[in-house]
Amino acid sequence: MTVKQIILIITVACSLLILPVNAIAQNNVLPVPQRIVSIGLCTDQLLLMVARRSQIASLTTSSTDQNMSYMAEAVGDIPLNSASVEEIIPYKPDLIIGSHFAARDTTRFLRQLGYQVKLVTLPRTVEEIYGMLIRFGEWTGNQARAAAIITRMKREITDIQARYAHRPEKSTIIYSPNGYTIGSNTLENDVLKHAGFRNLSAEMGIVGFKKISLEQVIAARPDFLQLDNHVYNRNSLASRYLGHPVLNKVVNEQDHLFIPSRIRACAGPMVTEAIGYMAAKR
Amino acid sequence: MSLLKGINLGYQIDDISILKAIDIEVKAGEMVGLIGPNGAGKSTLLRLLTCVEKPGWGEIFYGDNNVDQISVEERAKHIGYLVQGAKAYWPFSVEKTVGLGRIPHQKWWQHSSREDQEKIQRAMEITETLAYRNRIVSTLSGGEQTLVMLARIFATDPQIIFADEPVAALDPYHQLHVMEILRNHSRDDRAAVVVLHDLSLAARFCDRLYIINHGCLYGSGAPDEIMTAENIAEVYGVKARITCDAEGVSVAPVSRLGEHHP
Amino acid sequence: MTFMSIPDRVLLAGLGIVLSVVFYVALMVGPVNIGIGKAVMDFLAEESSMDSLILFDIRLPRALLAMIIGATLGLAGAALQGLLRNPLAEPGIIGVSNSAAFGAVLVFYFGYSNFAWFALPLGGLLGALASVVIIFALVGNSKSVVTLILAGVAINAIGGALIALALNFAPNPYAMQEIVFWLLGSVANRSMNELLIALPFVLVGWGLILYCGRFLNALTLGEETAISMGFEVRRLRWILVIGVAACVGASVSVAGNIGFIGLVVPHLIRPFVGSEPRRLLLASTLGGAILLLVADIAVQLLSSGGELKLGVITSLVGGPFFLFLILKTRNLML
Repeated sequence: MTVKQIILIITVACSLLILPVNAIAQNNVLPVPQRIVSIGLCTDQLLLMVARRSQIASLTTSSTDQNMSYMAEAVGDIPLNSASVEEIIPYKPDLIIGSHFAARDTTRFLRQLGYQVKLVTLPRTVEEIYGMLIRFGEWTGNQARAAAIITRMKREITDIQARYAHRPEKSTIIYSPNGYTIGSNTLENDVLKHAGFRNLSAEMGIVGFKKISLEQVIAARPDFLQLDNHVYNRNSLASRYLGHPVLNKVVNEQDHLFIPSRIRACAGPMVTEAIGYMAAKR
Repeated sequence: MSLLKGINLGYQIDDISILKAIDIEVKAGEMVGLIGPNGAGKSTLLRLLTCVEKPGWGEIFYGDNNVDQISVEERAKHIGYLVQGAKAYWPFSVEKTVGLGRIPHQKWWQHSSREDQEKIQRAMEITETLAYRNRIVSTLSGGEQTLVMLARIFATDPQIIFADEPVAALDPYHQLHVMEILRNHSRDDRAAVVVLHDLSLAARFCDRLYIINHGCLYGSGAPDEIMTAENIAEVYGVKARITCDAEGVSVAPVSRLGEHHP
Repeated sequence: MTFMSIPDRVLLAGLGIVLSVVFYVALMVGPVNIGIGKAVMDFLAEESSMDSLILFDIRLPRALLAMIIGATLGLAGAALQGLLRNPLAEPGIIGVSNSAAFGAVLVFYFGYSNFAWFALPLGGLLGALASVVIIFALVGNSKSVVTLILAGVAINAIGGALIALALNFAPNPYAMQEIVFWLLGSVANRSMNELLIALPFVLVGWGLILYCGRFLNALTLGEETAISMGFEVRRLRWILVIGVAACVGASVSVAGNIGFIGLVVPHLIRPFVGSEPRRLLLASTLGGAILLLVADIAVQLLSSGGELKLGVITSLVGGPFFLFLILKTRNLML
């Protein structure tokens, strides 16, 4: 190799090395986002809990829904959007946050337009919620607050488990509108575990969200029945599934667990309330 | 004895008078023919007389009773109505079709009784349809089908039979057969009212004829009185040759009257 | 066509036996294995074991409902065919079922079913009645088969669109997905409640239709002849129509639109009753019950827990059957 070639290689190598460093440096130097727009109910609530109010430019209309939003009261006069690109652009957001599974067209479009879009993935365990909170803290520049929330959650869960440790483990099945049940590898399953319940659907080998028949629910003979209360209007066939008289015969009405949608709809710190509610029922 | 009387009968649709003021009487033992050009209102008159349609004005009497005072079920036992081009919509056997004629005499829970079977048998005998009692009606010829429909009426054993152009599409053999059957029925305390286009048949078989023209009664009387060349020319607009011989009266239309000669 | 008329006694007894057998099989079919004997013993001993709960609370209502609805559809099909004098008439094809579903959807999703137990089947009845009246106004005395089918196509399309519209505006988020139930029908997960809600209307409907048996026989010879035979045709037509609307309306309101039973059953049975409309009524009732129970058994065997809608099976069988019928009678129509 000639001297010229060696110098060329070294120069190229160095530039390549510098670039990432530059990028990292730039990241650290990047300003904390000041106009954050959330385009999903779950990220709405995380934003309200983790970020400073001044950073929030807009939340979705669902955030004020008393039935579905845990943080409904905290919204106040923050402007609302319905996750359409037209509405979001005027806010001139420097960060847009949404969930992986919702509003996909919107996020794709926004990215094409050059906006910074971050997506949270669905946590499947309580541990993954902590991970999600940490990332959220990083994106919004509120790492300390995120850490504090995690600490509080851990403490609450430990308290709950200690308080009800003397009670025996119970079994339950989750039965949702249209006959869906929730098996292993889901957050609901992990919550049940933390609350001291055996999830009979998981024990039947069901993974994720699957349909089971009413007969299978009865045959499993659960101690408790968790009927999803996602609908606030009884008038749909889906809800009627949950009203089949035989369910009252299998499990007493007082042993039907109804976790309010506000707590169940999204993964986040409110999961400790769910754990507490269920553990108390044991 | 008067079996049927229609007084001042009229019928109109949307301000068009189909029938204006018809008086008609049918006595026991009579076969009455209703003749007249197309659209004169003969079929409408038949529908009024059978109470299938309510008259716009006028009254109808069966015997001494106004038809309004007789229940629908009672009326059904005393009359038989053969509609124009009668057919069965479902592939019934001949016997089953004839059996329908017993419905007016059956209560809703009843099945076929001994009397029903006898009447059905007799009806098929009269119309000579016994031979194909198990065949599907729609597979028979036009003439045979008409006989089956007639047998249905006989199964009801009515006093008065009303027939609307029963021989219209039949061959001469069956035409005569049907007319003979109707003639035989019209004895003693029974009668028949038949709408006909064939003037010869009308003249030969009917005791009295009513000529309906433009919704009005043109005239009525025995065939030899009323079936004159002048009347036929006036009503039908044709010149006809009328012959009387031992076999009966024969009316043969010869040519159309008016400006167009062949 | 060969002639195989069987006396009523034999025919109805035979159908009755088949029905009992099929009913028993329906009770035995399900995702969980249970012992029928044990279930019955437990029930009598007033112990609620898994077996007795599954048998009496889940399978029994389901089988009864399938039976009653199948019977209704068979009867209504025979009735409509007799009334319209047309072997292609049945509640699904001429749009009665879809209209009934629309009526039921309006009542159910907008909260009116909470007013009274009869609100839901009444909604179905009114929806059904509206469409039968329209069909009659359009087709009435027309002998043309084509007119009838086209009218049915139109009403089906309108009915389906109205159902979708209503579900779209329903306050409940699950409403739109449930259109599948209304358009394809199902008796799964139905309890005794649904059965008891529908039953009064169904029985009244059956009564009205059966009362018109002789009338349908007389109609074979045409309306004018029927009048001369002592039938008040206008009044009886209304009675029949209301009867059909009542039983079909109530059935659809609890189980959705299940198609083709009313077409297939009368056609299969007609040769055995000598094409006599009155005899066809009762035999089609039993035949319809059998056929729908068989379809429901098939549904449960073919899908494991995940719900194949009943109407899928009946359409898969009935659709080709309909085509076959059209081809067969092609020359007799038009």
